[in-house]
Amino acid sequence: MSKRGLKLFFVCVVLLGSVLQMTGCNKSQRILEKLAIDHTIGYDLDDEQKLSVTAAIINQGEGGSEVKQELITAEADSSKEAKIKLSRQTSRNIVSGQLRNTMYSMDVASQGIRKLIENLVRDPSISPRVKITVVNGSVQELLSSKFPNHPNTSQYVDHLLEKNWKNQNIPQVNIYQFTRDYLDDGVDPVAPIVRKKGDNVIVDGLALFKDDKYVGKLSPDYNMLFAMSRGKYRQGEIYIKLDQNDSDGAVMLGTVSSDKKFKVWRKRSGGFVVELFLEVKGDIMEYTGNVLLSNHKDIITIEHGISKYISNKMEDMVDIMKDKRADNVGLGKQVRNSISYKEWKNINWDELYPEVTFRCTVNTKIKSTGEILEIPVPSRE
Amino acid sequence: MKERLYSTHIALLVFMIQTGVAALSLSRKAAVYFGTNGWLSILILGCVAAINIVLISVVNRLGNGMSVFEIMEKSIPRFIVIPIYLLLAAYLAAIGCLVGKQYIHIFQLIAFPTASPLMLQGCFDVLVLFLVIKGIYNISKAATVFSFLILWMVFLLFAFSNDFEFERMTPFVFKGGRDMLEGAVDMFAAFVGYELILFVMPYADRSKKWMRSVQIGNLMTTLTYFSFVFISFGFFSLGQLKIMIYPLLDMLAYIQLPFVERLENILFSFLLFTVVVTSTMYTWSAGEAVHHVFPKANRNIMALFIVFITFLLSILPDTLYKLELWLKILSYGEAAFSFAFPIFLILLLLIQGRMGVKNRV
Repeated sequence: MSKRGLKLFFVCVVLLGSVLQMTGCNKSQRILEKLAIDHTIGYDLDDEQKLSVTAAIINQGEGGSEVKQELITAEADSSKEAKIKLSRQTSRNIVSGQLRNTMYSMDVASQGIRKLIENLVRDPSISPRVKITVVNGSVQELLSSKFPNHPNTSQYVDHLLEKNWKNQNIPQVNIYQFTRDYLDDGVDPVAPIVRKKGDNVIVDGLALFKDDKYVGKLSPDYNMLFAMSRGKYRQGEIYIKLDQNDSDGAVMLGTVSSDKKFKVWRKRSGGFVVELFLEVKGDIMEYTGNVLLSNHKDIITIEHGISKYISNKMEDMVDIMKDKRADNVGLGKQVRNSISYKEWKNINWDELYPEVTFRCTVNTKIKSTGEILEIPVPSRE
Repeated sequence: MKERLYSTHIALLVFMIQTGVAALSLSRKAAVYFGTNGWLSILILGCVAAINIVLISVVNRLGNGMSVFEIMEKSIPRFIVIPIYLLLAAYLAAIGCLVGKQYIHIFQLIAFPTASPLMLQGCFDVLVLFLVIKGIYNISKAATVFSFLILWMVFLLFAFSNDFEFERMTPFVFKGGRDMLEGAVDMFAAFVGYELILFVMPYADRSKKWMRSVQIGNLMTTLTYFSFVFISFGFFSLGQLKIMIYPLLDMLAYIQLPFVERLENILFSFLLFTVVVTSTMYTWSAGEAVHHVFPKANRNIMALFIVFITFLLSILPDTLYKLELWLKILSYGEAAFSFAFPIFLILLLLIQGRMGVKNRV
């Protein structure tokens, strides 16, 4: 009896499961061809400083083969109001479950994007992996531009960001990560900047945020250094110009990996010193200087050169951030973790931050110098 | 030979009763009430539950496996016992149905916003009814099978290794929280459920091992909760954790496989199994209490009646906010019940023991 009973029970579970599935076929039936799949949402400010929302919508053409991008724009106070207004402009149902990217013009970002992000987090149909991107220029203009090699602009930008993130040229910044850093004390969020350049879109560096407001830009040269300061860096590439007397030329390091460690000291005069220890490893892929790579001593000279370059550049980067009063590397987090809770709550980190001394010590190790030693200069005797 | 519940079944049954929808908001509550490194509170609560189970095992030992109803009826006159049973039944049934309703509400939030909640609740209650009328042995067997559909999900935690950071946890312990005691009771709602074992006692294997397996069940629950609350404290920042209503759901939503995204819809469906077992066991316990009021009534019809009444009850809270408020109040009562009831039974047993000795003298 019990075995039969259990069997019956499982049959019922399966049946009820199918009934539950069928509830989806009720009135809310969704046919792909009749949906307007929201792929990218862009926010601009118009001349009257009102929010203008642009949605790049992907339409699956009849028959299933053709994918077209449609662009609609509406003026609104919020993204959801915009959705209602936008839906009046399209014959299809707008759905946001496949949203991949949200783009903010610098004007919008400098006014603060907290409310816009909050509404994205609130909507359960929107994935926490939706990207956050700042656009240098008008978002609408970028999305409506036609790029000859890339018929679908919104997808092109999305893939561009994805690829650059995978190569660690830019940090991955999505709704989850932005909210996480925004709500953590002792670290401020960042976002990649893109810009139209001729027939292409390029990554134009990093947007520095102070809380939820865009305050400044970091040039693309710092992308890799920023990645090193924030986490483990794997499989990257750096191009370094050595400008020392004994080892001039340029080095390109491949398969770069780095590990970081922070240490915090107190200054005698009050305030803090934060030191970042970086261990960088890589292989020489290209070298244009005149030091002999076969000589171990010279390799050490190059290693020192690279270390010095990275540490100087890293300190420059933090100086830029300090100027903008944005703690994007997360020095506050390091200081917080080194003092007592009471002390952390008593200090005003925003005021203290620009006074913090930042030092970077780099230890570079060159693992190999490639497959050859050096092609000798032809002798003319 | 009469069937008996074996220790493995009991461990998994306890695990399945304890785990449920309350787990979804556990990380937030730990962050709000306990503040930094709130995950430590899970271990404390797990220990509290373990102590509670020790009390229950004392009842089991003193009463020599007697059912709670027998213990009570021995010392208390029937006209007092009957209202207690009815109250108990109503209370247990209410918890059972509201737990189910909460699951359905959240399911609607993420997956079926337009489906009728009544219909979903109806389907859910039919499942519960089918299980309840099959009796405790089959419930525990089903719970064993269902637990395998849940346990594998622990491995999903590895998906968060990339975004996990120890630095986010801070070196501070329990700073920035508020109302820790109130919070502890609120969070304890995720642990309760093991007290239903009191009603299972007469059906269990007579060996001493089975109380140990209740402890193992509780340990499994504690470790499962601990692992994901711990991960969520390194994955989310504290400020973020405090504002996420269901952090576990957001974590599931973050998992991405090369071929599919937005896994939370399917993963959340797996939680159905543990919620069904929880709801079933509460309804079954309510049925046990009612059975002792009307010993001659047909059990199946009684189960049908209870499920129907709870179905009607579950229509009342129509918003998630209202529902969670009800559940919060009920879970406060449940936490008190899970401690007070065994202590009350122990006192009864001690009095009975002394009277028994006197009578013999």
